[in-house]
Amino acid sequence: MELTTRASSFAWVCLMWKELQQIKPIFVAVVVTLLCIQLICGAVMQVLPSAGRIDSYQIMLVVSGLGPFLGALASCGMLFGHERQTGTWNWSSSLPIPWKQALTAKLIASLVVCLALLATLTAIPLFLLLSGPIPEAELVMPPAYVLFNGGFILLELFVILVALTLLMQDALTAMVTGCAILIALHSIPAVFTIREVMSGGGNATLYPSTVWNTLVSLSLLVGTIGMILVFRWRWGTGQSAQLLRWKSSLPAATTMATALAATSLNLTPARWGVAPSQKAMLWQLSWRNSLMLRLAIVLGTFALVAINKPYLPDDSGTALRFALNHICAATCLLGLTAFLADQTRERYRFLSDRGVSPRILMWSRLGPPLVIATLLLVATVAWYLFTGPFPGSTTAPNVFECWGYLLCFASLFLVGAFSSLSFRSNIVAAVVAIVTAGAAAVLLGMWVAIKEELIRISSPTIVDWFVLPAGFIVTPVILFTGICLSSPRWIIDRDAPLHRPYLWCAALALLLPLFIDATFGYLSVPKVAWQGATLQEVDAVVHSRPAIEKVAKLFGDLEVPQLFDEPDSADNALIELNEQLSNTEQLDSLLTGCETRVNQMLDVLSGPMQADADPVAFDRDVGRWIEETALLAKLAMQHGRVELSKRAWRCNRMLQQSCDPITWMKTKSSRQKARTVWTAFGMSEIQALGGRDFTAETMLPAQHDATMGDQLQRIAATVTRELVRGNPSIKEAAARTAAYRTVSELDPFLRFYPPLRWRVERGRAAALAGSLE
Amino acid sequence: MNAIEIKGVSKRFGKRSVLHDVSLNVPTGVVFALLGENGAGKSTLIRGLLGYHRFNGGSISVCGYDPVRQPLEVRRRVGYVSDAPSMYEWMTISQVGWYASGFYPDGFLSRYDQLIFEFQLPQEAKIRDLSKGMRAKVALALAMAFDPQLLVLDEPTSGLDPLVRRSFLESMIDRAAAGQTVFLSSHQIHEVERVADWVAILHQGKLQVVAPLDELKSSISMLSFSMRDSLLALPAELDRLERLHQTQTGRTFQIMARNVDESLLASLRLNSNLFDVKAIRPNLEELYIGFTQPMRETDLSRKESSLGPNPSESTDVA
Repeated sequence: MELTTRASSFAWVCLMWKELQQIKPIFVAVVVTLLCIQLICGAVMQVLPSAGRIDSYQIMLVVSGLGPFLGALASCGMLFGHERQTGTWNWSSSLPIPWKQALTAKLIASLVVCLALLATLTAIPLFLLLSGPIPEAELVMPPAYVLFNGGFILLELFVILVALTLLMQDALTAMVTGCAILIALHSIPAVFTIREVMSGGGNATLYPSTVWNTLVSLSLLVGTIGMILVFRWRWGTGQSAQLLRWKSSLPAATTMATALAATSLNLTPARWGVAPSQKAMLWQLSWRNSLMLRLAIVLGTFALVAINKPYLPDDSGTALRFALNHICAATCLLGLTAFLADQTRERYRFLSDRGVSPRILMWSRLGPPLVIATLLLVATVAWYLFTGPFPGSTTAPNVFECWGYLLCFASLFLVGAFSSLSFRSNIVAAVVAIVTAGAAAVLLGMWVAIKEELIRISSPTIVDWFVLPAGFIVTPVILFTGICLSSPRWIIDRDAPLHRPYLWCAALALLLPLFIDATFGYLSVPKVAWQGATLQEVDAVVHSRPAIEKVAKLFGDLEVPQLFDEPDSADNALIELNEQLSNTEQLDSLLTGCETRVNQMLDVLSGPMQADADPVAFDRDVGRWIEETALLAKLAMQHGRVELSKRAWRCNRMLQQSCDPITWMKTKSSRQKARTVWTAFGMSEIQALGGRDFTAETMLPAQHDATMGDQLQRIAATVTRELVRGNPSIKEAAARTAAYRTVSELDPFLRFYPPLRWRVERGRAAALAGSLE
Repeated sequence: MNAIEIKGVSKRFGKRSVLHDVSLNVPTGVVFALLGENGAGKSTLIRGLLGYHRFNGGSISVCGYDPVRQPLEVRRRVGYVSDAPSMYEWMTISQVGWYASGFYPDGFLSRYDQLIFEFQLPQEAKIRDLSKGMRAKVALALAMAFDPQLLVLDEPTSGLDPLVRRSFLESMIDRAAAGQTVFLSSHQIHEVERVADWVAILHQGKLQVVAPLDELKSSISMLSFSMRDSLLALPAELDRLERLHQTQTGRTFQIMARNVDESLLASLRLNSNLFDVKAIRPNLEELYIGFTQPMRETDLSRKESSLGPNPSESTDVA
């Protein structure tokens, strides 16, 4: 055949097709997962009040920004690391493909993936922004330089990861090392700057732009050149060539037989003449599995913790929490190393052939990384305990927060382990674990939004920190169950579709805690503080409402209601009332009768409420009394009857003080009139009454209004909630009568799902409060 | 022009030396078989032919090109099947062919489809679902589809069923007859013997022999005889031989050696202590064993000076 190559365009088509097909499954997985998270955010936005929507929307934006980074990780892993580990690199490089063309195709595919992820994940936020639910004015967009810097960091991350993936034998170790290098690169200058500032030698700029620009430029330049050189070398030398060769602690064998033999030579206590048991051998091998990767994770985590320690204030628990977040990420990666080496070398097939029990194998694989993760955690916490202000610090994590962290550690470890068990390809397993852990973090944020915005629990109580996170205990339980159920199939069947149980378990493990906590979270509502008082106190207020039927008619013989047809016209009322008085003695008798009736009324107000009370009539009468006593006080003062005026004002105050919140609200206009009357008092009149002391004694403090308003809202909410729950004991109360007028029958579905029911309750309570106000 | 020219190449990985001063020429239009035990350096030599690594010394030329400096030119002319071909598992057989066709001349795809049909492989099956033998067939089809000037095969028949293996080997002969060159390494010595024109035997990184197979067979004989009195020394005529390998079973000796001629045989037959003296042409397997288990001087001298072993023992001199 004549050596006339085809048009190069066809070669490009073939290459691009291969690269995009190669990355398609993981691209789809990332897109679907992140879109699901965004849709969950969107669903939460719909049930949140408008004030809380913006937070949920910001999470959607963060997810959009996360997409390209995951795309870069996936591209690097699948197009470079995965190709090497599956052996296709050798076949590809044996084809007559120029290295420049191969590299360019991979870079273009990576770029396409990142842009496609960005475009796909921006669609929903953009739609929400354009369609109106999100007020653009409230949106806190990062400044432009942050976006540019994010793009540069993405490029840096990509070139460093590609270079290391091509250079090192194990792709996952390379990626972990690359991430650690990148973080260290950007952390170290910041730390030095802070130290300089703290020592008084530098300016206050935390991270000078010159340092940033120099650092990014240098690392991008070095990374890009390194990536090109390493790719050229790797393309020319095949997938397994090494730049440096050293004697590995592990044998270079690719089969379990030789590995076992070599390991036994190294580890078996031959001098004692005792062969190791199967369990001992499995345990020893498990310790050596992914040894370099585990070392890299541990050292990298310690380095990050050490670098960030001076970066954060020592007098709070922030530094420790920050360190614990690093440990969380490390725990996930350590979990990933549990079954990694067995997948790479297909060692499980050898073990399967020798009848190793899946249960023993599973424990032997989970044990070492779990021990390492625990030691890492203990060492970090101990470090902070000995060097920090603990345990005296009030902001240190409390026991319930620690409980939450423990659940996080367990869950993330098992996510890593389960994904390394379920996906034969290490790169795929790593990306899936990272995406799952990211989804878990976002959903945890969603839980906070649900808790604070939907259920409205904002104060830490034992319920908040212990009972509600208890819902998350199902996550490690589900994941561990999944590992137990999958391990027998993993060891026996090479082609078992283990990703299916993983996907089911991961979805359940992530969503079930939210469902459980959202379902039962409302139980904590009566126990937590709400606007300054517990709901038990509010309920007590509701149940001690006065019996309205005992309220006697005041001013029974005096036709005064017609005086207040014009509410703001206190002067007119006074004039008319004055005209009705034939002499001042009538004023005495009027006030004396008034006092008697007020006292009777106050007795009634402090007694138990009657079921057949008429709240409307009661509120109207109390309002009328407030107005009347104020007018009487002014009238008495106009007639020079100072003592009489004082007595009238005291009656007025006692009435106002005795009002329950609903009556307080219903008598709002009467109280305003009383205030208007008070403002009509001249300075000489006030002095005659007793001056400032009398004013302080008579006038209610300003915060009384706020307190009563709060109580009113609570009562309205409680009433509505009881109404929705169908509580008959409170159904006939007066306020409920008003509530009946404002709410309609509930959808049956809402009655059976507490979160939605609670939301409706709150909505109706607010509506009721508004209507009553 | 030789398809492959190797002059004094050596290769070391760290302190471990894998190839020592290997020199050989592979003429165009032959089936060249490279034999050697596991770890002898065959795959290292083959990967060097494709430019996957530089040798520590010497020079190499493949189809007239330096594989290190002009790897692309080499790969355009060489079809290569590795000992463990790894193709994209998610591709179907037809997709693998379509993908590879982008980098080869026109006609690749039709020839590939024809080969796939001949190998009776399902076009739409995914690579991950194929058995080891079927994967080997796909790799062979990919390597042969563009009619390369040189076909380099590392353990090509591993995993193939007998029918396909026979068919494949016969096609190698046809290919050589058409002027193309086949360079293969294999442990299937009987099959190699049927098709190979030239043979090279590599042992512990050193080239033991390179020669046309027929010439090799004709120059080496397997001499066997029995001794009436095994306590006596071997005849002095045997010292003239270039002995490659020697075994003794009881009083019966088998010696593989060059320069076994009729005069020597006649002389041995006249020796009263010897009987049943005969010389036969060894097959390739015997030659291979002869070259890869060479006699050491100490062994030879010890055996020759010995009073004779216990008749009940069978001793491999090497």
